[in-house]
Amino acid sequence: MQTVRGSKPAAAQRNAVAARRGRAVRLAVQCKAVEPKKILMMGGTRFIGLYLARELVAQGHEVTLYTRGKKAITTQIADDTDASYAKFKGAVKHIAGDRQDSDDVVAKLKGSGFQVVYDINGREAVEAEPLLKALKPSLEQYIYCSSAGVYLKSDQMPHREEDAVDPKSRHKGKLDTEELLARSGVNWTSIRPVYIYGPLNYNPVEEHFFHRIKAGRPIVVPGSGMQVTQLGHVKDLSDAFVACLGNPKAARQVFNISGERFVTFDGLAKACAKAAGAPEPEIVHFNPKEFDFGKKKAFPMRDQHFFASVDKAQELLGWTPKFGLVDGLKDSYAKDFGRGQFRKAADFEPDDMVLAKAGKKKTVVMA
Amino acid sequence: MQFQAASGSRAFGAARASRRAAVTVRADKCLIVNTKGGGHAFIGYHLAKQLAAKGHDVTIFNDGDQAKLSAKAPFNQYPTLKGVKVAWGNPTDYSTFPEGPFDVVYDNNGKDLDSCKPLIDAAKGMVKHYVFVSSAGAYKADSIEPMHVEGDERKASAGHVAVENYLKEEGLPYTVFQPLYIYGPHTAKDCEQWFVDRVIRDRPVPIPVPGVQLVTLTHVEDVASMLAAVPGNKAAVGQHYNVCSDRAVTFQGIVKAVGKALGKEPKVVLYSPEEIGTGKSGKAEGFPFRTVHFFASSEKAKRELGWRPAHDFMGDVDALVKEYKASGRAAKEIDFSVDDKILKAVA
Repeated sequence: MQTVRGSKPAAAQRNAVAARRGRAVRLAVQCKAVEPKKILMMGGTRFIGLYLARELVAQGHEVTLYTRGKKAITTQIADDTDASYAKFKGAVKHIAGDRQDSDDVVAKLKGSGFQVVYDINGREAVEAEPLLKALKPSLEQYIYCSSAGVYLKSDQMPHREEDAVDPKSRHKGKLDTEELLARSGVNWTSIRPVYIYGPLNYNPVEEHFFHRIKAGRPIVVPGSGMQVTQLGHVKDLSDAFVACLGNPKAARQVFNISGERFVTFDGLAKACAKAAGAPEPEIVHFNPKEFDFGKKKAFPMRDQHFFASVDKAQELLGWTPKFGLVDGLKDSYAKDFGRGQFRKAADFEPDDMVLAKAGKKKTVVMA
Repeated sequence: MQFQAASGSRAFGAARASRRAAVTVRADKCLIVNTKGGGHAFIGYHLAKQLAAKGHDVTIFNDGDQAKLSAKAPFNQYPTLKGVKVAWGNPTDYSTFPEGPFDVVYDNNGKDLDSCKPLIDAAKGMVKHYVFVSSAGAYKADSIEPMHVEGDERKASAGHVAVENYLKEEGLPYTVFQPLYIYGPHTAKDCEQWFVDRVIRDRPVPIPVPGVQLVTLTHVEDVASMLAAVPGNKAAVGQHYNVCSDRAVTFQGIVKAVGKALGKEPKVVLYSPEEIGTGKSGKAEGFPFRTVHFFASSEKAKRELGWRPAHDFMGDVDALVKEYKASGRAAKEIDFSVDDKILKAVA
């Protein structure tokens, strides 16, 4: 049985190194404390923004969330104490509005004096335009949440920031936004996360595995299971966003942000089981060409190698991920999914299709 | 020949050692003990070239039979190295060594304690820096988080590890380098050539399943430049570094790239070495690489040695294919008996 990293002595040694580096990094970040800024966050009530807003408020910045108001502006999360939540709730501000309504956005933001924008939920370039227009007199920095999904699929990996992007990707809007920002003359930074995970994740990344592990089911994996991908903890992503603030090294730069290590599909299934304190799961491989799952997914990841180097952010921003994969998944499990909370109910129909064909219990080696 | 302490009149390190490489302007007396064959054979030649270009005093001491090897790559290039002394002998026998003293010794030869110990014993307390060219092959394969990072667990059977432990125990100022597969001019071992042999002859390319395995292929000049960053760099003492490109490529990707460079549409035949009985545990008869993921991070070397790779494999494929054609290898008879065995078993 292949034990997952995090339980071996070598891992302890590496963790010690990372901890030393982490301490040095945190010290460096503290020494470069930024003066309080008036910050506008587009979004902020769902996932990434929950953590980022808290970090920014804790650092003394004035944070305003711009949302439609469909979700409560603040809710207490597992990381909060009653006291810390009360403080955060009292400090964070809100503008209610629909960012799809450009004129309304301009009207609401004109003269507002926001110095920094964290655009967490922007999808199309047109959504960034009213912000640039309205905030021109005061805007010092525009920090955008893009996606590593913009990279063109490649046989040479990992993706690095200078690599070719895919104009046909479904993340084209992110690319367009990056290009708009670059053309606009504003001091911009674009962050390209890979797969984000962590407590309160609304994308079925770890949730997919935790459902199956909880049900004691095999995990079906496309192809060989040797495809390599990468997960990044939402708090590490939040740290990276904070590291960009007032940082001249972030000016006009793109950064991949995710975990430091890469993981195979099979490995991810095993890591989730370990995080849930469950025995190693049965893995059943299948050939995706032999199935039509309709709109449902048998596996949450795109069926290809998908991982990016975070070297640039580590070098230029003095940022480094604090979570290893198993530690991060344990965090997500302990604070969210392990409490019986799920965003979507389990749907094992695709799994059952695969298992039926495989005659269950049979592991098929697929090319 | 015993090594003696380097003359005290030469200042050690003009620049203060910092965690990043300091540019030092001084000459070290360097000895490269070089292997007689295999994938590491040409490291010595390229390293010597780069060290000499930096102004160091370089001697290559090569294992093996000079008469037999001098006509072969890479050893046939030694006469082109200006100002580099070349000697041949037995690295386990001091009496055959060139005269010291040496400031820096590179062991690019031994793979286990028996072959390395005599040199280590001779160098102990005398050299300023002892460099052991080990191998990333010593890492234990990890099917969950496959990328190798310094400090990860190594195979119990790895002979290199015993050497590293001995260096540590004996208190030498050592640096260990862990290369992966290497390509480039004057190699003694095939890398990409295996793929070109097949594609250029319009033969199907048998690839162990699933074909998406990632492998790091590194240009020898990048390997040499990392090793050449050591003289005068105190930050490197006591450290291990992976020596590799910051990119990995898939098996299928290599075939595609070679095909593109040749203007051909190559045919890949995926097969399972285990199922047809031509290999197991990460090996496949006739295939140049391990059949599991084999790639590593060189981020530590970038951070601490200020090293940067100048090459990436995909960027080099066109030049490699051109070189292959220019060598006349396309006209050579290649032994495809293992391919035929595989293709027959798969059919």
